[in-house]
Amino acid sequence: MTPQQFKENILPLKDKMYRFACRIVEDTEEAQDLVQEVLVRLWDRKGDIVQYKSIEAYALTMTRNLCIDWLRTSGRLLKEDPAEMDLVDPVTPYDLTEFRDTVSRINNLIGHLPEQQREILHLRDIEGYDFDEIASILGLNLNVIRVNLSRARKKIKEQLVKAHQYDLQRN
Amino acid sequence: MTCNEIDKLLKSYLEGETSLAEEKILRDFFSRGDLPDKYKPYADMFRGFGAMASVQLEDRHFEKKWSKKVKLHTRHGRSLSFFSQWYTITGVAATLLLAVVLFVPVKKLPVINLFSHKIEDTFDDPRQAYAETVRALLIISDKINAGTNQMKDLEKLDEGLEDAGKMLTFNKGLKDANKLSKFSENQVDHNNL
Repeated sequence: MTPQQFKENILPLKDKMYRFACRIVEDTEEAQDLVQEVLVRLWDRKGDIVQYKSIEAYALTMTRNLCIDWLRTSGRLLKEDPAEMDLVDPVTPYDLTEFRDTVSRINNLIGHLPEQQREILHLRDIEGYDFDEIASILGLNLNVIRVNLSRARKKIKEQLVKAHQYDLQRN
Repeated sequence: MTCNEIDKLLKSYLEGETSLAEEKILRDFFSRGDLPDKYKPYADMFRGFGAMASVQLEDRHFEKKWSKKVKLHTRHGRSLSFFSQWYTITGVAATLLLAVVLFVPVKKLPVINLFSHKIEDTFDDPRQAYAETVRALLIISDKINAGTNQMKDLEKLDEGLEDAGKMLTFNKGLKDANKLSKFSENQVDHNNL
């Protein structure tokens, strides 16, 4: 891949990488730095990356790995296996009313999901990847992806219904 | 699309069984403003997802920073490889030196110490010293000439070898002449018959 091709095909992925990094590390500045680092590493491998089936999936996998490394070294990684974790503690309607902005509310709900559900929901409902691409990025099988996606969606919906009912009662 | 159809799609959606195309239908539906109250949570959800998908990395200098980082990284990469080459070379040299020091007996190593004893003059008069030096050099040159004189004998040997080469050609000629004489004898015998 030539430098020009890299600038045309890889650099524009920075927003997707940034959103994914933000979802994982929950720190916008750190997410920016991590995306820079991923792009530097991709530049180093620009000669080889053409062999990958989906460069986008490869870039996001690399982003995820680097984010997890960062969480680990900074001591922020949860020790529990996300797959074994229960669903999030219910966010009370009172808490939800603190988020006047819909985006903040949804963002907060996603942030409380277990890691695997959070990543799958992000890649499907925010980035719009198909199941095969998600499987490739996260290294999971399709069944695990469907099950976790379903759980994540139901959880978000439950919380939003509760918040909505609370809003209705209050008004 | 009717509410019943939307409800069915929502059920599949929550089970993770909808396709990307079906999810687009849901997104479009919930982006409408005139929705029944029961759909409000879903509308929030799809609008929230849509808004999050439009988040961008807002740093005007991002590309410049990245470019700088790449250059710095490349430069470091080169210098590291340069140093690593030197580390390898000096490492091998140090190992060899260590091996020599450890495995070669100390007695066999030539010890040259120019300052072990003081060099003293053997003549008080410089003229006498000069005359002695000239005499010594003349003796050395005589010996060298004697050696070169012996080389002349070798030249003679070379000449002899060349002559011997000529003899070999002569011998070959004689053999051919013998063959001719045998042929002549045969001719005579044939005529006699």
